[in-house]
Amino acid sequence: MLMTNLMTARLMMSTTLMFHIVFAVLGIGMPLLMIIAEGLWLKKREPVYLAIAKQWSKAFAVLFAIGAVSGTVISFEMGLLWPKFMAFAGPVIGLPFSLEGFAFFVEAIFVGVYLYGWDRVPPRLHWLSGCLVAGAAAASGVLVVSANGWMNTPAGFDVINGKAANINVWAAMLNTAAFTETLHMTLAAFLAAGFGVAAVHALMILRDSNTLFHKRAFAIAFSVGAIFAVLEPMSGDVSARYVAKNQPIKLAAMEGQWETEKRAPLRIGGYPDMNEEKTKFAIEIPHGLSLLAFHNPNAEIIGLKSVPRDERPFSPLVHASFDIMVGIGFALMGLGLLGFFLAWRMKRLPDQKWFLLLTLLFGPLGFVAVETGWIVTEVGRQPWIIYNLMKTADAVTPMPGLIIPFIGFMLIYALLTFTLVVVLKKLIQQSPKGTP
Amino acid sequence: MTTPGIVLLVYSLIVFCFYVYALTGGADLGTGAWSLFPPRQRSDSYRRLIREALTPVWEAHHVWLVIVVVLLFVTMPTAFSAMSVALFIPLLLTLIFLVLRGAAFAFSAYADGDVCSSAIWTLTFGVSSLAAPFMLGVSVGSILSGTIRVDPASGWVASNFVSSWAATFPIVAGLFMTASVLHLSAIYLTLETTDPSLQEDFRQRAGITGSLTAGLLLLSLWTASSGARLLFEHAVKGTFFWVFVFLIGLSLVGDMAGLYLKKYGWSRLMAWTFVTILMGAGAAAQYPYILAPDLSLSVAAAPASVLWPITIAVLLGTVFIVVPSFGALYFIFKRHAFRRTTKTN
Repeated sequence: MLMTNLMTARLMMSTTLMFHIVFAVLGIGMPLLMIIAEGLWLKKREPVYLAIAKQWSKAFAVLFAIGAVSGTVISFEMGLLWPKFMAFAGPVIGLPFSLEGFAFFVEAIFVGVYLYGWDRVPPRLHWLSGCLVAGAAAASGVLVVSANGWMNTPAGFDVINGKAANINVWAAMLNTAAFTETLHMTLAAFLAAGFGVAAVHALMILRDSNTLFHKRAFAIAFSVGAIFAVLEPMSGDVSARYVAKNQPIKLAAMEGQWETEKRAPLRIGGYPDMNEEKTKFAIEIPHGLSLLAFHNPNAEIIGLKSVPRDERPFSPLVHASFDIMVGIGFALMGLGLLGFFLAWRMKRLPDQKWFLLLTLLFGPLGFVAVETGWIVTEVGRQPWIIYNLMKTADAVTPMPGLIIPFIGFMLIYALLTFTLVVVLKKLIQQSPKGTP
Repeated sequence: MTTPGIVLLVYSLIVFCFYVYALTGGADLGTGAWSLFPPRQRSDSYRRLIREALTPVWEAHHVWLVIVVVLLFVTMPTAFSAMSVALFIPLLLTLIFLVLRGAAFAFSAYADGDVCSSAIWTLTFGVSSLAAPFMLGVSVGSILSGTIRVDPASGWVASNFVSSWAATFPIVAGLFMTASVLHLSAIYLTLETTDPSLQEDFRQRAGITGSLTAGLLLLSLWTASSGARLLFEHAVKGTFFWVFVFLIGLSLVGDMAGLYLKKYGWSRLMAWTFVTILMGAGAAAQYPYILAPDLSLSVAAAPASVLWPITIAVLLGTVFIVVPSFGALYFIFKRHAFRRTTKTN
């Protein structure tokens, strides 16, 4: 057999998550953009803002539908692929999932009102339903990510005879990782959605510089992306220190740190060789890792060698993903600051060609950062599905031949992605020309 | 063995959410499937009606199914885990059809270029809307049939991946589910339009699928005698069986009479009654098991320290969030289907 069933199940789950997260991010970020645009319309009565809100809401309608169905895939696949995990963990992490169900209700109901109620609801109530969508979407994200946090820092139960007992669902939901993870992910969602949308409008301004529609849309989306891009590295610092304290092996995999040592260096790039147990070709910044992880240049960092080989996460992937995520994070913070600086100097929206081009190139990278960030979290936790408690290999379904549904889903995702690109392209081309 | 009150409450909640899903999201699947069978004339206005009926509400209705899945794995983890293994194939297929149907619906609204022909997405939408309730019905039928076996010692599933659902009773149940969502949605659609010819189209469709529903119900009771022993013992030989048969027959007759007399609001009320009695009876027949005969509700249930907070959260959420929100949604988009004068001509 080419791949073990475990490997197929992991790939199937990860493609589903990687597919869904794009829509989750846009589902959280775009409502904020839409209510800002519509709010400006209500305040200033400039028709261009209404046109922007309406055009965004058309794209959002398609994105939300795909997000809703791909989210359903996750809720089914958790059980279908990891039945033993769900049998153990289902009740413990039940509270965030149940609450998420209600956040999803609010979101789906008011998405209906928002998208199709332009002519049926008074303007202020319409705007308010947009606010409910934005709030519920963010709440959904927070609740689901807090359940993921529990897999990293399981809490709120005892294990008696291999079963979870003395369950406290509140303690489980408010686990240690929940705060740092949800903060980092929520900021990331606004950042990636803001810059992603800004990149589209940058392209349209580059094509036709005489477009008020795209300039205003760009201004809103870029501002949102930039604000969160400045905040995100701070939350990253909180997350890194949290990982150092609670999941030292994940940190070691992120950094290609093999030895347990004080004054550990920060490695940028390089290849952590799992067989030779050392990281080659990396640029090393002395004391860097100790400083980052504990804000103390002499702090001790635990290395990968402190656990047996079969309990080490696959460091080459985790390390590379981590570096990519951090690199993009700083690049986007720079882009945001640059945008603010230019706007301050020019006292108006910056529309230099090179600046728009820069946004077009870097804007979409926020999504790459989100994907690589999740690779760090998930692959960095391996071989555990519940950290230090249940191994992923022990949770997988006994169902043979998983390769068939895996290929099926890959084809479906490819088809959906292709069609979505065509549809979005058409919507972008249909956007109002000149000054509406 | 007695079932603690909280477990019974949780079981009722799960059944209730699935019941609401059947009447809303399930019917939406039927609505989508009708797009496959347009009348030769009026196929455009027919399809437009279907699209307009679904557009603002289908995603919100779909959440009921997500809630059922979540409640199952939170409150009945061992049962959920056993179902996930034994019903891997039909559940996965349900999922695929639900994904295709949702995506196709969203795409078909925009796609009319040559790259992604809207005809292909319209077809995908119809076919997956038809197949999803069938696969879901097969899964539910399998759960009711008492063939998903669980090893009592380990709490781990003892059935293989095929035998519990590739059997007569689950397949008849799948056909029954398909026919009933088609019937229900055809009645809904008569109330969605004021165009008499479209109403007539869906009146005929509701009539045909209503007869099919009745026939398949009889067939499923008959196949239950061998295919779903415990259900049969509980339901068919139970004290209330003839009361059940009487009431369910009465509601179906009332439903069809409403169609005949073009009193569609009445038909809808009777169809709801039909589903209510049927699902209530099914849930009662399954009790005190979640997966008969090995897994009773009280054995499968999560500890009370989980059930209480979840139940309270779900009840509060339903009363204070879901009901008012849906109220607003229906008030904005579905007022026309609840007017007093629904009869035309």
